[in-house]
Amino acid sequence: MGSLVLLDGALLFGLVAATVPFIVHLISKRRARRVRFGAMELLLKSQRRTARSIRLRQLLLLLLRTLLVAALALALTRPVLRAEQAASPTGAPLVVVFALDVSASMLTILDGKSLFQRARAAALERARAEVADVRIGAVACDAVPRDLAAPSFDRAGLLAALDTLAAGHGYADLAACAARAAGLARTVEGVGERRVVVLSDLAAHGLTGGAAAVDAAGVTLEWTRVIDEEPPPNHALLDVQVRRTTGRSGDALEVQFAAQRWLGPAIDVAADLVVGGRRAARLVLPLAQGRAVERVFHHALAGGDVEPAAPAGGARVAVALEHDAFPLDDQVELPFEVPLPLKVVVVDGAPQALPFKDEVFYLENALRGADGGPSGLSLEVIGPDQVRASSFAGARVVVLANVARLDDAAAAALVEHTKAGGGVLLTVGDQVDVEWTNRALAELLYAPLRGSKGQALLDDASVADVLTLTRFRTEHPILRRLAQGDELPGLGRVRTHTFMLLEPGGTPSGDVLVRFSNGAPALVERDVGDGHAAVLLTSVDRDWSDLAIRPGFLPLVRQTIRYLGGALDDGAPRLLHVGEAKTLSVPRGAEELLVRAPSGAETTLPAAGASSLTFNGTSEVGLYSVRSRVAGGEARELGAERFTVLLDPRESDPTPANADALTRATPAGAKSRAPGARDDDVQLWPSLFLLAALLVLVETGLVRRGA
Amino acid sequence: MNDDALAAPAAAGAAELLPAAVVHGIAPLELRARVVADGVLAGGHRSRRFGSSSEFAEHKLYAPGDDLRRLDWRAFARLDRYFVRRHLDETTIEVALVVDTSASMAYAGGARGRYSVSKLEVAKTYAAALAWLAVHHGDAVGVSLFAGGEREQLAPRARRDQLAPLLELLARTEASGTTALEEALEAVAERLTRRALVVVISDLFDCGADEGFSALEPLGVLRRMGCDALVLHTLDRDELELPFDGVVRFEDLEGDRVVQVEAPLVRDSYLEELRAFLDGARDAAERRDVRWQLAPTDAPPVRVLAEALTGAALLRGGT
Repeated sequence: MGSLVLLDGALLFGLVAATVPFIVHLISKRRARRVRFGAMELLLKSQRRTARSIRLRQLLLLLLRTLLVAALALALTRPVLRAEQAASPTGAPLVVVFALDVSASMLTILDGKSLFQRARAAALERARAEVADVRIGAVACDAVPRDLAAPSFDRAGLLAALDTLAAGHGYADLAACAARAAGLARTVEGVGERRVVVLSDLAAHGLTGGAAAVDAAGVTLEWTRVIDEEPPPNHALLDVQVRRTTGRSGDALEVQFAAQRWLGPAIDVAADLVVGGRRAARLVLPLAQGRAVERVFHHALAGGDVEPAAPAGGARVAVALEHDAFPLDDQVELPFEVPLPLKVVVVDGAPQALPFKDEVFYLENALRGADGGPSGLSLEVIGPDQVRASSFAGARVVVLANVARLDDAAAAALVEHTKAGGGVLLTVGDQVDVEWTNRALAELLYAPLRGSKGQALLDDASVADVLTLTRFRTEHPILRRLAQGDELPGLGRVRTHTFMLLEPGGTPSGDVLVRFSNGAPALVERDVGDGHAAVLLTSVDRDWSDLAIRPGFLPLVRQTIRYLGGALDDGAPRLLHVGEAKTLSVPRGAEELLVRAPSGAETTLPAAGASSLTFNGTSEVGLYSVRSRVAGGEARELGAERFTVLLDPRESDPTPANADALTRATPAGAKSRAPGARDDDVQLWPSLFLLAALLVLVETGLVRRGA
Repeated sequence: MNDDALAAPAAAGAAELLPAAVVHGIAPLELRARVVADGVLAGGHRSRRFGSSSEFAEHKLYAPGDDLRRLDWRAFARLDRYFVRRHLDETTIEVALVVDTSASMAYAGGARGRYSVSKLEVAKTYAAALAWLAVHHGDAVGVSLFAGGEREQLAPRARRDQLAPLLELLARTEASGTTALEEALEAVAERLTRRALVVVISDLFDCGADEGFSALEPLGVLRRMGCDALVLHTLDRDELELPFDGVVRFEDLEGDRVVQVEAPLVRDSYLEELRAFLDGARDAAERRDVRWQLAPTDAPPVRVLAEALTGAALLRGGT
């Protein structure tokens, strides 16, 4: 005795449509046109004569139309007549290979269990149910299919492999995985059925690539959807961009994001902006299927947003949607940092009554302009006489602009301040006491100063009387963004006639970032303890060079100050998707980089001698942190290197694949079996379609006859 | 039943005539009457027009028994023979117009969005045109409007100023009430004192179709009394073809009967009933020696009247 099975039972609700003809009938009765007529007697007579046949015809039409809709609705559920299965040991297959989907979408939670847990439980149950002389193997459907267990009689090994398997955050190509499993099944010699059982949510996104080009003759491919019901609706954050803006009312965060919903009715979903662990704003998004909604959070930055303990003086920013059954794509934590206010103390070594002649006039304007701007600098200008050892307290960066000398205590305090993580920028000029500087600030210098040199004084016709800037070290964090922003050509036109020479050599913990066209260093930088010190080897006013009035001056100064203050945003992309490689900058002298994944797993990358490294382990969704370690030293957090890995957006779409997609994804030669279908099933849907076509014909005939 | 009678008016055949829509569209009823009447006279070749200023018709040789008062002494003086003068008032007839003004006459089409003039307006046109003809022929003309019995009437008079009150009465009449043709005809018959032409203009609904149009019985009596009788059976094109689409709820214009039908499904059977109805009306008229003319509202009124009046005293000329 057989039973009727609906392969797409969820579509049975389409039977509701069968009531449509009846409703249309009722509506058309109600919406009859009213006509006041004279020949009523004739009408009544004719109506009396025809009433019976008309009613019969109407009933027949109603029945036909209802049957037609019902037949179509039923056909869409793909009904099959299934014979009772005979439990015969001789019907056992030769080999069974399970292909378990371990893509991110399998982490969808239904009734407290993830789809992956259901898939694994189903695999275990079926493995245990198979008779002992059936070889069983398993493949994990990850970004690249990987074999879990080759087909064998070793049940214990297989069960152990399945037990330890976990779903990842990546994308899986089910067609490739099915082909891999089919290949594994074909490795078994012998006669009998080779069966591949794909256990997955069978979402359409995993079957877009078409079948892999492998020969799978003799393999029966069983597509198994691990849930019977419709997949739950899902909403996801698709893209998040953060930038800092400056307005009249101060600095603000602008967080632009896009969200989308798949399946289910349109609903309102709350989206939160979380800054420094606290909810800062909430928006309600009207999400409907197939339509991305873009919104922007504007959040004014206040002191309270800044976590004192945040690495590199920043706070974390996150956008979070209300959780649904698939929470992995509902929240994005961003590696954006809200910088602490960067206090800069500028020591003006050559103050002048006329502002534009002042040593720091141009520098001050460049930095003052940034006061309320994106750099978040606060500037204090003092004279050399005012400098005390306590003057540097609270300052992140100290600028000595053409300063002759400081008192020794202040100089020592400056060195200590730098070693403790501060930054110093020295700019030279006619006031600089070379001897004192070389002695008191030796630890801050890349190489000792030798003295100033003016090109105009050279009595050599073969030597140009002005120098330009060249040989920019664009991989250095200070210059990297300038190179991206196309600022370097402006700097290349700087004309310098006098500069400060350095003694040959230079510390290995330093770098020459820019040189003059005669090869002499123009901007040098070195590490000092936890801090940095930079020296500009020409004046910061217009006495020795026109750098101060060149277009590249402003970004150069700001980037240098930010770098020295440890608040540099190098502009490198910090959002990527699972599986994409991330390039990491290696600090000078670092022996290794330690990358910590959101789960806490740490990867160590040897970095000695490299300026950048490629990290390929972006297999988890979330915020990754990076630390660097010098030989024998403590690991240091590299705030600017933090990055966020987002889910592959394809995984967010839970729309199930249709039968056509499954057929297309089946490798050549393999016999495909749709979810729930069996070979001995008698397909009823073609007959139902035929019946529907017949009903259409009869209905048309009846209508025409009536007209 | 002649199928041509049911057909819509052919454009070619009526080319020389004013179309119905144009005629019925003329606002003043008098002008409408004149247009139709002129058309009828122009088409009636056997007609003769008399000057309204003269009552004299012809001389006749005196014969014993003739009224001596009518001897023409001047003719005797000239010809030395006795002639009597025959006057028109001896040959004129009385025209009694009986117009159905029941509510069913208000129907003015509307199937498939096409509206025309109401049957009552068409009936008014015919009545007015006949009145105009009669007055200008020197005949006495009167009108009787009926709905639920006789509603209003204007006694026949052979005066030229009879036309104005008649047209005024027609113009202000609206369709209402039920049909009661028999009572109206009986009332008209009672008032007739001499030979008359009785013209009934009606859709003949609710006139006892199942009993052989019993409402026309008084016309038979009138015929036996020597009167001439004509029935202008006025029907709208919608009533002749039932060209409605979809489900229609028909409500009785004269009562509270309602029937909701899918019009295309009952059309065939309706047309059969209609055919029987028209055949019945024609047969009933013929049985009583009464002329019957179908007058669809969209038929050119000149043609309808010309056909209807063929052989009638109005076009024969008086003798």
